[in-house]
Amino acid sequence: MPCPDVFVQDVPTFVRSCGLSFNDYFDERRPAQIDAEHCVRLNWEAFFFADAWERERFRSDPLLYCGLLTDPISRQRFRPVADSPRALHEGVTYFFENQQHREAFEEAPQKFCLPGWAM
Amino acid sequence: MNAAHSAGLLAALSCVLWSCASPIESVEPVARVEPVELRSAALDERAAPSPPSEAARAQSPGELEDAPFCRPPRPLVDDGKFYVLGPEAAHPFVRYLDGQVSLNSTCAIRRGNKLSRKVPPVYVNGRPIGFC
Repeated sequence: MPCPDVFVQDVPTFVRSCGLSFNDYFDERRPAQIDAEHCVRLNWEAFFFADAWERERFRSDPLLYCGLLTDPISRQRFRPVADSPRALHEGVTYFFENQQHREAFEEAPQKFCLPGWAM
Repeated sequence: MNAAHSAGLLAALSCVLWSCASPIESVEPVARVEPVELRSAALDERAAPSPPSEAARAQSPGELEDAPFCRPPRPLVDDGKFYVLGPEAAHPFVRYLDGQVSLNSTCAIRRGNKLSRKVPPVYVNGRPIGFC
């Protein structure tokens, strides 16, 4: 299995094992908690927060805060907007550049939910 | 005055006396030395290559271009991703298409492996993490 696929399946564990540390996504002065309870996944990306309140703030309107995401089909970085196509797969919300990419994803979500599918 | 000093003075004095007693005419003339040619034949060949042989002249221009000494340098492939040297020369960081530099310099899964420019990063808090 390609390394990005392994990483995406358990981001907190591998971030800790790498010795990487992150600050809260909103407040750079506070260290983020690197665990599943303080993590939000969107597409292939992960966001870590210092506490549950900040995490819920992000989840209340992810499009407002997430910035650029990677389209799982085209692999291009894009900024999702309110009417961007989206799909929910195994508890993770995926946003797409267009409707065709969403349909391609829904035909084989197991293939496209991991970043190493085209490597 | 010690013994070594006195012996040295004696030797110098005898040398002066011997040179005064010897007539200059008795010195044999030194044979004239012709200047040595410093440029070797090999250097001359490198400076001025020999004309091409019959076989080389028979080759077509295309064959000559294929020869390694005639081949033009290959253009660098610019895919927008570059290695950025960090503290360890063997494990450089990677600068991705969005201009961000990877947070790690070795693979996050296979520790110690050099990052690959071809493997897309995974973003954590908007920062790229690279893989091998």
